[in-house]
Formats: sequence, structure tokens, C-alpha cells
Amino acid sequence: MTTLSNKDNIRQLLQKGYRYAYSLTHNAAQAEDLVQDAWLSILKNQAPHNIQYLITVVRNCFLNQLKREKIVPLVTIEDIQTEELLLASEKDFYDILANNDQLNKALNTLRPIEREIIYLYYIEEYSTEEIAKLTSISKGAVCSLIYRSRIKLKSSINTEKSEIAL
Amino acid sequence: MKKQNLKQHNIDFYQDQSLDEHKLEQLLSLAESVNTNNSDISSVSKRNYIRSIAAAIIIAVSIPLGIQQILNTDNSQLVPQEIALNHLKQLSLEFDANNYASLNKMMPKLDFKLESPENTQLAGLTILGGRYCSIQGNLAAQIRLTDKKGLIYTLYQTPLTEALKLEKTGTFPSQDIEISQWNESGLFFGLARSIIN
Repeated sequence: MTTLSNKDNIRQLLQKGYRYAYSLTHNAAQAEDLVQDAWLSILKNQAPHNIQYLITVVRNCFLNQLKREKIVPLVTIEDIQTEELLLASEKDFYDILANNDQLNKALNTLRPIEREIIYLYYIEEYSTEEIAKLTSISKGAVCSLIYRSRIKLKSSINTEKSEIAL
Repeated sequence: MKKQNLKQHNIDFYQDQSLDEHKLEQLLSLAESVNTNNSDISSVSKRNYIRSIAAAIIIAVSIPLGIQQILNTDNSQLVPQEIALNHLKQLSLEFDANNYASLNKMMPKLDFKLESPENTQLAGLTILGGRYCSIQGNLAAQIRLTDKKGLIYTLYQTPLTEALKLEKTGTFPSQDIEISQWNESGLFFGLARSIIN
């Protein structure tokens, strides 16, 4: 039988998987579907119950879904920022103030890959190397995505604020 | 309205997103059912340890088949449970139609043709519409039907893959849902209806 501590661990794991799925879809029902599909796949394959594995399976389910819907999920990322530049511009990200509604709208303007990277970097606190491994994209592209996503978020929030001010 | 710096706000925003307790329990029950099956198999294996050693010599040639059978036993509830979970969600229909021909036209992403099943359980049911979904990661159609009393049924159709060929067929309950599974015209069918209604 599943012990209490195991049960608690699985609860935490599923919640983390759901939040990650939410970062991809920005939609509660779709995130729920994704984590359910991923969890069934893990149980069916008797795969390990850990967050890295769950993230990989959720990601694969999401990509399969996009493939079925014939949506191209990722675009080429030409601009490669260095990690130093990324860290140097970090303060800008701290200084932006927003309320929940503004953040929600701003996150919705990001592409799934951008929300995913922001989630993995800031919420799961993975390093850029770890994100690169998890998502199978280069470390430079990860840095670039974080850098660009922050700019997009900042710009979107500022636009929203100016519209309200007008 | 609360305002805070964007990094912290991102963290708080995602921390606020969570699966509700009911959904969590459903997903946990899936793990429970798999673990219980594993545990049962493990106990049987211990009791039969000595006999198994002798038997192992004889059946060595059929080990791959044996492993396959155990794996199938462990996961025998996953497809019905997935069907039950999807049925409970009652997600909104993407396509309104009252026949399979119309649904086939409205759902071009399906890599198979929807069939009107011959299973007698569907006799007298009216089609309400459909939506895309997946069963075990395979693209599937989810068709909603109703009977004369207004009871809702959810029918799943997906190509009969090698894995689905191994699924049990027949009618069995899963949570408060009755699930029927069968194969027909090269497709796997799953029909769900709530037992308590």
C-alpha cells in the first residue's frame, strides 16, 4: 500500500507537475489534462516518481498535443545572450511592480516555451544548465529566452499600466 | 490591490495554482491501484518462492511472455480509470452534431474514421457532440450521448494499437462509473456512464 509519507510526496509531486503544466498552457483545464496524461503514462510504464521525470513526461505530452494540433511549438532562437548579461539585467526584473491581473495578462502574452523557462528558472530554481538538459535546448538559448521573456513581461506590464493611466 | 516585485510575484502566482483535492485524490487512487496490484503479486511470489525456482527452470523459455503478463496485470485498471476520469470531467463539447458522419467532417485531425458501433448498449442513445481527447497518449474522439432519461454517456473511439489489443474487454465498474470496453472495426471503444445518477 502507499504509505502516508509516500502519499504526501506524491501529492507534492503532482502539484509541482500541475504548476509546470500550467506554465506551458496558462490554462487550468489543459494543465489538469496534461498532468493526468503524464501521470497515467508514468504509472503504466512503472517509471520513477520524481519531478525531473514528471516534467519530461508532461513536456512530451504537451509537444505531442501541439503536434496533433499541427502547431509549431518552438521557434529558432538566434540571439544568444551570455549568462553574465542575464545576471546583470536581473535587477530590472526585481524592480517591476505588478498586481495579479497585470501579471496574469503579461504571462499570457508569452509563448509556452518562454513561460516554461521562466517557471523552471524562477519557481523550480533550476540552473540554466539544468534547464538546457531538461528541455533539450542549448544553454545559450535558455539564457536568451529568460532575458527576452523578462523584457516581454516588463513591457507588457508597463503597457497595461499606461493604458490604465490614460 | 497587492503589488510586489515581479520575481516574487511570479513565484507567488504559480504557488497559487494547484490541483483541487478531488482531482488529487483521483490521481492518487490510480497510483494506489497500481501499488496494490504490485503488492499482491509480490506476496504471491514470496509464498511460492521455492516452487518458483523449480518452475523457473521449466518455464525459462517463456519468461518474456510472463513478464509481459505481469505488466499487463499491473496496469489493467489504467485505461478504464482514464476513461472514468475523463467522463467525470464532462469537458465542454468542441463539436455539436447528432450523427457520426457529421462528426467525421468536423474532426479532420483524427487519423481514423469514426464508426457507428454495433454494441447494443448504444441502442436508443442520441449523440450530442464530440471533442478531441487521448487514451494512453493516443489521439481519440470523445463522443457524448444521452438516453431518454437524460443520463449522459461518454463514448471513446481510438485506433486499436498493440497495447490496446491487450486491454480487457467487457463491462466493469471503476469508482462510481460503469465502463464497457470492446473492439470493433479496428477501433478500441470505451463507454462510460455514471452508476449513481
